[in-house]
Formats: sequence, structure tokens, C-alpha cells
Amino acid sequence: MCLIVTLICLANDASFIWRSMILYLLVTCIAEFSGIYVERNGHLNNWVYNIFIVFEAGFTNLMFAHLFNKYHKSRIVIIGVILFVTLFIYQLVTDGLFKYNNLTFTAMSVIYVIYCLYYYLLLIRDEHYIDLKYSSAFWWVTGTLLFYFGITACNLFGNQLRAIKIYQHLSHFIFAGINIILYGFWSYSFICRRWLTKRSEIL
Amino acid sequence: MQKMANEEVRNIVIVATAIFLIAPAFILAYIFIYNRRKKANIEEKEKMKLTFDTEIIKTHLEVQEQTMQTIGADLHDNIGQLLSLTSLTLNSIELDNHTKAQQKIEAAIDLTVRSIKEMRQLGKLLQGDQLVVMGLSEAIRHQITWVEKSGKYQVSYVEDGEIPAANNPDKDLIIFRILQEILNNIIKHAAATQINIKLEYLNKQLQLEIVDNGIGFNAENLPFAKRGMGLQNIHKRAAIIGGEAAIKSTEGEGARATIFIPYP
Repeated sequence: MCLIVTLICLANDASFIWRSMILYLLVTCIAEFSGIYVERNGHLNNWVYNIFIVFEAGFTNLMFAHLFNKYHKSRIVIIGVILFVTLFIYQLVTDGLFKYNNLTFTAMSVIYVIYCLYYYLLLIRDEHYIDLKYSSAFWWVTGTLLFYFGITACNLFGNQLRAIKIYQHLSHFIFAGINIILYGFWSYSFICRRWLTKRSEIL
Repeated sequence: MQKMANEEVRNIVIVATAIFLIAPAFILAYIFIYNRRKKANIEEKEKMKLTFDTEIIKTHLEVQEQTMQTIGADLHDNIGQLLSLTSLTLNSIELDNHTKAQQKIEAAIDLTVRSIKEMRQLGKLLQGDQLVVMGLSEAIRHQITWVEKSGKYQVSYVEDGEIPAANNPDKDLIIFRILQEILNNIIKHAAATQINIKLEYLNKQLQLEIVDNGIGFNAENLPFAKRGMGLQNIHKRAAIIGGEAAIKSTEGEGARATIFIPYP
């Protein structure tokens, strides 16, 4: 659904970074369907997500670098990239490709939450007023924050959550919920982006 | 017992997860509130800038108007009289009486030279805004010259401290207009004979003090109509450039107006 919105809204976007979200969401869809397919065939799908995490980190860092660039703070993203690469290689060497890369994913989630909060800080400090209701960057960051904040909570209470079953594992519902929140917010962000692009064309 | 413990863990986990999910909502609410305040603040700043710009334009016009009034009065009372007298003198020349004619021609020449001198001074004044461009001190000196010309006032002017070379034309204009307003008030209402003006620069602050020995007034007892725009304008204009005005007076003991302006 979000991919369709992205295709409609961002296909002709002036920014390469925003346009690259189409590719990212396409990769996400491929990864999700591949994960389901592998699981249904009775195999562990951890390796699919271990590969996908590279794309996820790449695109998310790229977008944050683009957003921070407005405030000349894009270099901060390098710290996250270095941390991600170090942890990813470390876990790949120690645990291999078929064991879920939990440490890297948790660390990455925390970093993205920090990025989001830092973006808000920059936004607050910015002397210029931005109408947040129509700010694509703000809604993209908000979706990201809610997603990774939720994911971090789920990772911290992972074992306990998996123990709670209401028809299915509680964690399953929470993951579904935060995914809907993420793609909902991102879709709205892309719609805002489309409006902005139109306005700038008129101007 | 084990079941109760599990129940407790489950509740804690659910509450903690809910808190983790709700926390960002509070952050977002804060950002929205802050952003709304920022908008209000920006609008307020724009409004203040607009008020400031309007006040500057108004002050420009008032300074020009005052200049034109001075020129008009001077043309009528001074240059007009001098030229009339020159004309009369030249008309009364009897060419047969060489000695008298010579004296009258010399008198006419003297009157013409004085007229030219007056015209030159008027020319300088006609430049209006240029007065302030030349610098605040120069503008004040010019104003004092015109006040002194009436012959009714003794005006002293003292400058203390070094006024920064990098001046602020907007502030200069406002300060100059305040001075004009105060001098106008003294001329209209104070019946003073002595006016002392002091311009002091200390600790990045300009202090303009105008003291007169007139009849004074009691600001609190002034009837509303007499309170007029003059005093209000002085306070308003000082405030608009981040300064303040203090006007003290006692009936029968003259008045003291002090303007404090952060400068440049």
C-alpha cells in the first residue's frame, strides 16, 4: 500500500533521496514476501532479514543524512554507519548469516531513535517556522521514531512478550501495529511531499 | 502463586510497552506546542518590525515637515525682510547725491550678502534627512543654531564620551526627532530662557539630556488634552529603539528630559 503511495507521490520528485524511497519500499516488499515464502517452506527466514538490514540501514541513514544536511549536520550519520558496519560484520563473523542479527538491529533502532530526537531538537532550534502539518520530513521522522521506539521496546521485552499469547503472540500484534503506524505516517509524508513538489513547480 | 506472578509480569510488560509507545506521542505534542509558540513569536516579531518601519517613515516625514516649517518661517521672517529692506534701500538711491548713493549701495550690498548667507544656511537645512546622515552631533548642532536664531534662548550643548563611528541611522533619526519634539514643547509651553543639552555615550548607551529653566509642569496633573501626543510620542519612540525616556518636572522649576538608548 505504502509502495503504491510512494510510486504515485515520489516518482517525479526532484530529490534523488526521496525518489530512492520507491526502491527501498520495493526491496522491503521483496524481503517481506521472501521471508514469508521461506518460512512457509519450513525454513528459518533469519538470513532474509539479515540481508535486508543492510538495505534498511543504507536507505535510512541516507535519508537522515539528507534531512540533517539542511542544518549542516549530516556528518553525524557517519557515527551510525560506522557502528552499524562494525556490529554487522562482528555478528556475521561470530553468528553467521543464519542467526538473527539481534544486536545490530537493536543498536540500529536505538541510533535511529536518537537521530529522530536530534532532528526534533534541530527543528525546535531552527529560527524559521515550518508548518508541521504539511512537512514531509517531519512526518517521515515521526513514523520512523514511532516504529523504532516500538521496536526497541519489543526487543527489550522480547522474551516476556513472546510468552503472552492472546490468540497469537502479543508481539505479533505489536509488530503489526507499529508497521501500520510506520507506513501510515510515511504514506502521509509522501503525500505532503507531493503537495510540496507541486507548490514549488507553481512557484 | 506461580499464576499470580505470571499475571503480574504480564501486566508490567504490557504497561511498559504501552509507555514506550505512548512516550513519542508526548514528544510530538510538545513539538507541536513549541512550534505554535514559535509561529506566534515570529508573527509578533514581524508585527514589531512593521511598527518600527512605520514609525521610521513617520519620523522621516515629521523631520521633513519640521524642516519645511523652519524654512517657511525663515523665508518670511528673515530672508524676506532682508530682501525687502534691500529693495527699499535700492529704490531710495538718488543718483545725483553720490556720497549718499554710495552709502546706500554699500548697505544694499551688505543686506544682499546677509541674504546669501541665510540662503546658504537654508540650503543646508533643505537637505532635510541629510542632517541626520551627517551624524547625530552635527544634526543636533544645526537644530541648536536654529533655536538660538530666535534670540529668545540661550542654548548650551555638551558632548561627553566618544560616540561610535559606526552609527545607526534609524536610531539617529529617532533620537533627533525626540530632540525636536522636546525643543518644540519647550518653545511652545515652557517660556524658558535657558536650554542645556548634553549628549553622553557610556557603556554602549547613549544618553541625551535636555534641561530647561521654564515654568515646568506636573505631568500627573496635566489635563488629558494637554498631555498631548508629544510626551507620549517621546516615550513610544524611545521604546521602539529599545530605550526609555524619563521626564521630570516640577511646576516653576523647569523640566529635565533624559533619553537612554542602547547604541549603536
